[in-house]
Amino acid sequence: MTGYVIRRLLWIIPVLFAISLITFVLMHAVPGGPWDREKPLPRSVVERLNAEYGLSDPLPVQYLRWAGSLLTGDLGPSYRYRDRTVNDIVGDGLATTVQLGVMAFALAVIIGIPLGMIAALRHNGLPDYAATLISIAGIGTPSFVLAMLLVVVFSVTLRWLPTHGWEGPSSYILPTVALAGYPIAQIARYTRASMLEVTRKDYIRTAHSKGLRERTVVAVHMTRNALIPVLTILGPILAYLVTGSFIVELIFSIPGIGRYYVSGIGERDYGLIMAMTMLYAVAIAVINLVVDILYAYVDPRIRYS
Amino acid sequence: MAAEQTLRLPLGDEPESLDPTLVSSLRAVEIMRQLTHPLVYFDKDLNAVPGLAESWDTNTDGTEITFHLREANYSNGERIVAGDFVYSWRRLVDPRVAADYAYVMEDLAGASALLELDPEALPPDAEIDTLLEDVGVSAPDDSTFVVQLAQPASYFLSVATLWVTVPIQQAWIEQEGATEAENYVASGPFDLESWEHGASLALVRNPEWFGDPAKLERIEFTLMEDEQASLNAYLRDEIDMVGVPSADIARICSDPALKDQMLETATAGFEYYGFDLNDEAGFFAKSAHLRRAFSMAVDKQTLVDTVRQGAATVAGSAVPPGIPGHLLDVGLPFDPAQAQQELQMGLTDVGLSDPSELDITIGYNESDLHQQTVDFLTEQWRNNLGVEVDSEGLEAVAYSERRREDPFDINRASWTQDYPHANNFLGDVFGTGNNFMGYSNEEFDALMSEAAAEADPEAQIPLYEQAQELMVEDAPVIFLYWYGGYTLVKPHVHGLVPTTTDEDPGMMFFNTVSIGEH
Repeated sequence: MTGYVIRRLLWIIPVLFAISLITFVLMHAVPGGPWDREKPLPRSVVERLNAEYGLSDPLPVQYLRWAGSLLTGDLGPSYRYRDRTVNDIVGDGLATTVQLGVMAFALAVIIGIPLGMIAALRHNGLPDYAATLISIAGIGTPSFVLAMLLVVVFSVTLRWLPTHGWEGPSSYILPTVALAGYPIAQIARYTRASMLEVTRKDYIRTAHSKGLRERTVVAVHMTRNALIPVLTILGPILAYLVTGSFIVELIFSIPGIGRYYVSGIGERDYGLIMAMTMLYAVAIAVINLVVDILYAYVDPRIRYS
Repeated sequence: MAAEQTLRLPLGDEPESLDPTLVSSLRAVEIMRQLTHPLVYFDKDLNAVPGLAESWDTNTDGTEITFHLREANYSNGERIVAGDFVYSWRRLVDPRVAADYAYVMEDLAGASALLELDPEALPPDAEIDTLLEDVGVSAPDDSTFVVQLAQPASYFLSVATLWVTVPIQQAWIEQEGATEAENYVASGPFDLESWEHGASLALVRNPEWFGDPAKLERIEFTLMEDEQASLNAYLRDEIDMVGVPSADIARICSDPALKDQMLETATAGFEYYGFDLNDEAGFFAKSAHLRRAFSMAVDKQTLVDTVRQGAATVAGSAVPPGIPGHLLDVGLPFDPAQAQQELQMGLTDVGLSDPSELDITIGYNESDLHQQTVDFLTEQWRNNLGVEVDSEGLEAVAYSERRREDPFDINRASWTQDYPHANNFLGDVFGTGNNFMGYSNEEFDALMSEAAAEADPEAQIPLYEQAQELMVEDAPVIFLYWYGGYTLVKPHVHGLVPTTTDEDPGMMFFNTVSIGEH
C-alpha cells in the first residue's frame, strides 16, 4: 500500500509538468496581453511594461523562469495587481474558497445521497418522481440562476439574509446552497442509479430470502455496495468545489480565489492563470489519490500492492 | 443627520493598486480622489481652483509655472513639502516604474528624453538617474514647486489636477506594503482604514486634511462585480448608490418607489467607431466622401433611444458638454439623401461603380451593448446606403490588440476624460500618432500647438472650435454619443455634487456629502 501511494505521488510530478506546459503555451497563444485595455496605453508604455515583466523574452525562457521560481514556492508577479504577488492573492483567498467548497460539499452529500436512496427504494413511486424532478431541476439550473433566485427570494423580498459578503453564518447560507445545487443533483442521480443496480443483485435476493429485515438489507448490504461508484464522482466534485466557483463568488462578493479563474484569463494575468490551473490540477490529483485509497477500505475486492 | 455618517458604495472591480503613480482604472482613480490631493483641483463647474497649491504664477512665454504650496499635512502628521512633488513627478516619468499615465508629462522639460528611451534596452541606472535630475521640476524651498515645460502647454494646469501628480513621500512609497491600510499615507480628505483584498475597502475621515473636515466619517466600498447583484444589495439597503444596468432602466423608471431615487448622470467621454486610415489603399483612407456617407447614414438619436434606453446624448464631435470648446451644432447630421450623394462620390474616389462591391468589416469587443449597436449600424447602412457590412466580434483583450496592430475597416472605440480640457478630447485623441485610426492632419496639429501656446483660456476656444470643425469634416470616426447613465441614490444621501468626471456620482466632492436619518 505504501509503495502504491508513493508511486502515485511520483506520477503527479510529470502530470503537473505536462499541464503547466500546455497551459503556458495555450495562454500565450491567445491574442492580446495584460496591457491591452479598452483605453489603449501608449505603445512605449506597453513595450516598457513587457520589458519590465520579462514578457519580451522568448517563451521557453519565460516558462523556465516561471517553473524555476515555482520550485522555490514563488508563483510570480500579478500583471494586473501591480503591487501584489500571486502568492499574496492566492494566500488571501484560498481559505475562504476552501471553506465555502467544503460546506457546499457536505451539504451536497448530506442531501444528495439520501435523496438518491429514497428515489431508488421507492422506484417509480411518488418519492422517486419528486426526487428525479429535484435532480433534473438541479442539473438544469445554472448556478447563477439559482444564486439570483435565492437572493431575490430570501434577501430582497423576505429580507432574511444578506445579499452578499462573507461575514458570519447568515452570509454563508445562500452561497453554500447556490454552490451545492448542481452537485446535489449529480450525487442524487448517481446514487439512485447505483442503488437500483444493486437491488437487482443476487446477494440482495439472498439477504431478503434469509429473512433479514428490510432496514438491515438496505443499511448493510445495499448502501455499502451502492456507494462505491458514487465515491468515484465525489472526488472530482470535491476538487471542483474547493478550488472555487467563479459565478457564486462573483454574485455574492465572496473574497475567494474562484473569481480569478475567469478574471485572470480575461485580463491575461499570466501569473494568476498558471497558479489557478496548477492549484486545480494538484487538488484533482491529490483528491483522486485519496479516493482510490478509500476504495481499498470500502470495497473488499480492491487491494493495492 | 444620522448618527453614523457612513456612505456605502459598491466597487465594480478590485483596484489594481493604490499607488497614485501606477493606477489608471476608473475605480482606482475614484479612490485616489479621496486619498490624495493634487496641486490644482476643481470647483463644481470643473474650473481650476487651488488645491495643495495656494496660488501659482506662469512666466510670460508660458514655459514655467511656479506653484506656491499651502501649509498642509499628510495623514501621518508630516508636512507636505515641494520635494515630495519633485519625487512624485520624477517617479512618474521614470521608465523603471513603467507608469500607465507617464504620457501626460510629455510637455515637461526633459521628460521626453526619458519617455522615448528604448524600453527593451534601458541605459544603466546611473544614466537614468542623471536624466531624471534634468527633468524640469525643482523645489527651491519647502513651499515652492517650480515646473519647467519644454514648450508652452496652456492646458498643463489641468494635468496638475491628475491623481498621478499628487505628492508622494519617498520614505512611504518605498517601504514594503506601502499601499496596505496600516502603512498608507494620505494627502486627501480621507485616509485608508482597511483594504480586504477581493472583498472591501474602507476610508475614514483624515483629520490632518487641510480643508473643511469631511462630513462623512467613513466611506465603505464593497467589491461587487456583478451589476445585478449590486442592484439587489441596493434594494435590500446594503448600499447607498448603484449604477442602473441599461436593461433595468425602463423597469425602474416606472417603479413608483424607485423612480424618485434615479439620478441622471453625464460622463465626459464618447463612444465612436474609427475608420482604418493606416493603409493608404483602403477604401476609407482613399475617400473622405465614403467616411462621411457612413456617418450620415446613421440615425444616432434612434440608437440612443433604443439601444441605450436614453442613457446618453447624441454626439457630433469630441468635446463633450460642460468642457470649454464644446460646440452645440457641429457634427455630420443624419441625412440619408446626403449620405447617398456622398456615397456616390466616394465610390468614384475608390474606383467602384456599385455599393455592393464595397468589402467592409466592422469589428468590436463583444458585449450585449456593442453587439446591439453594431447590428443597428449595419442595418442602417444596408437600408440607407445599400451596403452590406460584415461584422466581427472579438473577446475584449483580443480586440484591443487587434485594433492596435491590425484594425478592422471600422472599429469600435471609446474615449473617457483624463483631465477636463479640450486638448484631452482633441489633441490626445486625434493628434498625429495618438490614434489607432492613423488619422493625421497637419492643420489640425498646428491648431493644437497654437492653442497650447495660448495662455488666455478664452482665446484658446476659437482654436479648438476651428480644429473640431476641421476634424469633423475629415470624418476619421463616426461619433455616436456622449456617455450618460442612471444611478439610484438613497434619499438619505445629502449634498451629492455630480460632475462629468465621476465614476460614482459626486465622487469629486464626497467630503461634502452627509447622511440623513433613515
